[in-house]
Amino acid sequence: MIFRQCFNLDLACQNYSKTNLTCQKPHVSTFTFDLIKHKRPINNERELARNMKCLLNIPRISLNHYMKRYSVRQFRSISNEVNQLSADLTRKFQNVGIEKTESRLSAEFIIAHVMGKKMFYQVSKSAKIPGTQLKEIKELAEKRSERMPLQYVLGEWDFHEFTVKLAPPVLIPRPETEELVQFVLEDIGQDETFQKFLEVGCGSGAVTLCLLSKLPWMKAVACDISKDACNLTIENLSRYHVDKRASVLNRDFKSPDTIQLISEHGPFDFIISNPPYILTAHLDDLDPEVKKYEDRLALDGGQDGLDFVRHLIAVSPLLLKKEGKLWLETGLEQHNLIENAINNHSVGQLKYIKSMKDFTNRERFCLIQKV
Amino acid sequence: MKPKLSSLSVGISNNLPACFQQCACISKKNYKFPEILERDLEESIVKGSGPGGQSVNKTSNCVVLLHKPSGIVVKCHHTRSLAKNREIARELLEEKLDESINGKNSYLAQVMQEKRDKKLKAKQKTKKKYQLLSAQKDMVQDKEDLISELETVDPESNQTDNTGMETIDKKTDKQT
Repeated sequence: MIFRQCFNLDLACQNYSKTNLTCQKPHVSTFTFDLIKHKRPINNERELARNMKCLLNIPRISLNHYMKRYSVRQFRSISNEVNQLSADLTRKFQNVGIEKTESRLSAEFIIAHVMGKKMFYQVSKSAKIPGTQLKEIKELAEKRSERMPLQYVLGEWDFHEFTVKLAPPVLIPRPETEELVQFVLEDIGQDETFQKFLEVGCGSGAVTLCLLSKLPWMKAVACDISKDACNLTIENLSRYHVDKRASVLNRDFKSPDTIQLISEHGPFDFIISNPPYILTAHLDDLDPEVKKYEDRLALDGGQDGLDFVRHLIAVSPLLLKKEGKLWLETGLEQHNLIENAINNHSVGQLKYIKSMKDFTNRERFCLIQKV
Repeated sequence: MKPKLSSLSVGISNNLPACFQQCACISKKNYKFPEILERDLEESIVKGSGPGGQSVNKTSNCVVLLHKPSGIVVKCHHTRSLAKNREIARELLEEKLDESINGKNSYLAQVMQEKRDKKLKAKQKTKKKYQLLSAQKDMVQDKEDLISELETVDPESNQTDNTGMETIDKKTDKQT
């Protein structure tokens, strides 16, 4: 076994005996466990035994036994370059305050991405990392250390089977939105009587991309207030060659002119939207990844989180065909309010059909239909 | 919404007549997997119990799927997309359940068996080919041996003729 770092055993022993003054016979396993937990490798059993003046009471046999049992198991896996790098990056991210699992995943995804793979298990662990790639990994790790979301660091992420290009501040597609798309696809099946749909707040264009690719007879209109979002949408649609069937409008959906313009493309068989639904008061409690880098306009839903949803409810009857559907992703515990809004303000034109649960078994999506 | 399981169609490849067995390749469309009901499944996706949705950005899309009646657990983190991971987890569960119920006759076992048969066939083919080649070689060798044998015999017979002729010549010479 080859260990890399030097380790001052004397110091460790002194510290250990200081903290364990009450304990006259410190147990070997506890001591070695502490060493290993704090990632200080031990060079060999002889050095350990020689320096452990504070543990003179323990018989040598059990010392060797514990050394062999615990040190081998702990360090064999970190004996090559790729794994070592992954462990180093994980620790680096943890030090910045990123949660443990997320740190490990960030490290793994960054390494895999630079090595040309999507997932860490596809990377050959025995491969040597060339200098240029190492440099790139370090650069990306630096960005991630500033709490930039991993998807922005890599510049892309997967949405169903599509790889979507991403850049700040355009909102990163969430896994819940993948589920919403699945609901829509299941509802439509192969029914070619559905011809057109509208996406409000298309962001990176992931939803429109997925729907257009899987429903090859349909046409789409995608609208977003942000120019960056619209550019990204066009780029992502072009990548998968569905851009010809989509019109991307860089407009403020709340303005009457926009509604006028969109209605000229319509009426639509369905409208799909992941509108901003976070309460303004909660915005500052979010993780730094979301708070600092993602577009506030895509998140801020006003005082009760439903400003944009109310607007959608008011305007959908003008844009939908008869019995056209409105699919929404919402925040938690907003569905009752939405249902009330429909019953009170849609002038009998819309009907609340049902709520659907996400993979955490909480109500996340709602289906509304034009009467 | 739970992703759909692979659609099943009737027909098990074991019962094909012998004339078709050579070209029969087992495929998922022909094989009938054991049925899995959605209510028997318990899915856990490590996302935590926070508000989720727009307010969170997590990259941990690992799916752990438990099939309650059989106790089989499948863990899947094959892709970066959660939806795809859920789909793949269900496929893996199907295969595992099939293996545990059907053992030797399961889909995976049959695929392995087919591979083994193919390999064996290929081996036998090459064995036969080399046997044939070596047999031909032996034949050619035998022929050559025979020819060389004949060649060693002929010069002796020529010599006897010569001596015979000489004696005759001598005789004739003497006569003349």
